Amino acid sequence: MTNEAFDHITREKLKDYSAAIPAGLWEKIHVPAINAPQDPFDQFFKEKLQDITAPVSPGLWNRIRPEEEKRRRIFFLPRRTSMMAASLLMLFIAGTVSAYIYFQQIRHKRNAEVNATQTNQQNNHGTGTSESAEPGQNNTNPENNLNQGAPAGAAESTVTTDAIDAGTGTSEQFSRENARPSGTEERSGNAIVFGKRRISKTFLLQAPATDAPGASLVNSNDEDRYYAPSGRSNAAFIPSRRKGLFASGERDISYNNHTGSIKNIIICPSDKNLRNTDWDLEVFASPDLSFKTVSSNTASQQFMSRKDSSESARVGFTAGFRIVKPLNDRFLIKAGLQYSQINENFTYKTADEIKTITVITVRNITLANGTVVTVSDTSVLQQAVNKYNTVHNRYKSIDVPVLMGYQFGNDDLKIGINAGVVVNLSSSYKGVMLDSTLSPQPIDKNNSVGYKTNIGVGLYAGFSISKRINYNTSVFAEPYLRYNLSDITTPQSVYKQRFSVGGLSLGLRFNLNKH
Amino acid sequence: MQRISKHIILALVLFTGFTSCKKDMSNNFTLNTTSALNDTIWTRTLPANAAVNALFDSISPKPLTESFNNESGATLHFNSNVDLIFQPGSFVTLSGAAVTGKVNIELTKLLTKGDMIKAMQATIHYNALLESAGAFFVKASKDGQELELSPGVSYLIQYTDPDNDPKPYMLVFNGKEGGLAPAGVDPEFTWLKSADGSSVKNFTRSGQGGGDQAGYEILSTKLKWVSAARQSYYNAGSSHLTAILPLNFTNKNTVVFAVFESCKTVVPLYSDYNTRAFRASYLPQQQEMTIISISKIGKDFYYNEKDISDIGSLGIFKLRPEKKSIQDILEHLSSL
Repeated sequence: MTNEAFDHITREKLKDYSAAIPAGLWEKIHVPAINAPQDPFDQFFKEKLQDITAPVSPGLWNRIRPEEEKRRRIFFLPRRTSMMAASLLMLFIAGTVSAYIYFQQIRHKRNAEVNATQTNQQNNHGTGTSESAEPGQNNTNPENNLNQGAPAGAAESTVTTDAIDAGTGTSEQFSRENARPSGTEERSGNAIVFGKRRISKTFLLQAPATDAPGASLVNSNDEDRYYAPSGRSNAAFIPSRRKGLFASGERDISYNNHTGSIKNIIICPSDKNLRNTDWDLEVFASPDLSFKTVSSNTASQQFMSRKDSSESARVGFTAGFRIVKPLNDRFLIKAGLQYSQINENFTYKTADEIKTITVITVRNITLANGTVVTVSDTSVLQQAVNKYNTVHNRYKSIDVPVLMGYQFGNDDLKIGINAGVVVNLSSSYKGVMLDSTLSPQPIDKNNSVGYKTNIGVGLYAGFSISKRINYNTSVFAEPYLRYNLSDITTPQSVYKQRFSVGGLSLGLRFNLNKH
Repeated sequence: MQRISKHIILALVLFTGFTSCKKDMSNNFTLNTTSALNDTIWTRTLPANAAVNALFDSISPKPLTESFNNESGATLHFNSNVDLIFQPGSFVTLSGAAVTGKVNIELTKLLTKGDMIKAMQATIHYNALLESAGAFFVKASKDGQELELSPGVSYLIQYTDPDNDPKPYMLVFNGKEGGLAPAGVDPEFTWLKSADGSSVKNFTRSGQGGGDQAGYEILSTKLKWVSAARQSYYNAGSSHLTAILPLNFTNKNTVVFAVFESCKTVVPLYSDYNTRAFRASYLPQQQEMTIISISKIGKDFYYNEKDISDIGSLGIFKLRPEKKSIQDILEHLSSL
């Protein structure tokens, strides 16, 4: 059986059914509902505060909508390009919104036509309830005005609200049912369901006709609690009703917000929920200091001593980026890619290197006839020098940091700790090393005997402080320590060497979910 | 704020670039004060440890040694072209005592221009140029004690010239040493005619291959340096010859000679302290010659030669010695 058939049968069976209304029932419902009493508490604050004005704090509007937002442009793009991109984006958004609204209006019109058709069909079945509604009656319930101006169903709602004043019980129930859902449920095509509920309400209203006055007429689980007469005081009654009306109004607002899928351009900086923090990008660079531990495998003491005196640490660096995924307000996970370079000086002496200097000598030479001739001679002077060669050794690595972080603080300043692992992808070396005969030997990517090309996993721990510098960007500093779990040398090397690195990462964190 | 972001990123990029982009290698030099190459100081008087003495030891011809019984005398054959003929009882001790038994004879022969340079011997009589037909250094010893010729006794040197047929009018010259010879360069060395003014005879004898051999026969009454030479005369004017070398080459480590192309005339260019140059006075113009410098600095040898057709009136030439092996230098000298 279809809904329409059910409605038809029910309507036919019950159209002549009537029940006596308990005395005083309508007064209890009608008067308080239309003329809601003033809450003394609200009235007090209204009187005290209605004329009060407060100055707007400086920068409030900037925080609500920062000036930068108006001229925000894509980073690194020229201003003109940014403006063009912004214009295209605005055109796209405007076009999308316009198209959406346009098509929604078309749908509303179609639905209104369908509802009108259905209403006519229902009226033709002879309930007569809608016919009792008369326009032009006073609408004293301000909340009903929420529906004013709404398309389609809103007009219907106004009519039915007026029907309440008409004091017709069944008509009232019917019209309130229709007024509440506004156009939303029309969109969903549930008009038939409304009819079903309407009938149900009628039953509920009339069924307890033999009950004592003041008894609950509706099931407390029913969504239309605002119709429930109560033995409680008016003051207790009103909030319940208000709540129901507000809930309806909020629902209507939400349902009518066709642009709900379009992000709100008004951004409150203090509202973390509006600022999407799902993904961040950290770009950083760090000066590093390396700490080396060296021990002998088969190397002689002389070798170790010579190696120790030949090598000295220099400032290295790490640079890279990390994608940050906040798990919640406190915990986050980071992963990225970074390039690290440990720098070291290797100094060795080469004796009796030849250094050449071009010199000009001038001589006065007496010839056989007594004439003095000045002779200049440009020649090369060779000098034997001790050459102290300083080679900049470089230990390069490409790594993937995978870190877990915990942070706390406010939106402007956050303090956190990060820990995790750094997985090495590739390592290479360039410079000069001592060989087993204490002779300097060059090593490079193709000739790095004794050194690994992958040093495995290292542990990472850092302490970060970040300061927000604009809506989407924070600057952060993070002193950290990286401890490599394995040597950079192979087991076949005559010595074992391992690096630990301490550094100070300085960088920027960008929120990737820009509005 | 966006500007601040850009500045921060720019600073990060600059920092990364500054840290990563450095030269792979840098050098610091300190002068090695103990290296001979850095000794560019000239000296007025050659010290005994001057490098040129070591150079002499390295390139000088090694003496040939033979021995004979002093009581019986002997004809000693040194290679195929030099014979020394000693009479019985030719030698006595420096104190005049008779010597019996075997006597060792050392002979250094300078038959080519290269030999003369190797021995750092010039063919000059003071400032006069000599054309040499060969020079010899003869030394007799017994049990390490140097001997001298017995009074009134002479010995005969017969030799063939590998370069030229015997020339006439050759005289016997004896070397006047300055005290250092033969252990180094003797700037005071000069050739003097023998006291008796004897001349050098030419001889012809049957060679081992069947043909006749022509050579010189020197009858000398003195040991040590003996030469067959004659004075050279040139019609053209003369000039001083000056050789300028780079600062690394000083009179302590370098010797310079001028070698005439047409004859066995080898002239040393003495060091001139004032001009830091090497000079030879009054050399004839319009003569082809080769200026040769040999140096020893540290363990390295340097060599340079410059062929000139005429020293001209100026006579100033620049030499640029190059590092050579000792074998290369000896070969060059032998080819002169």
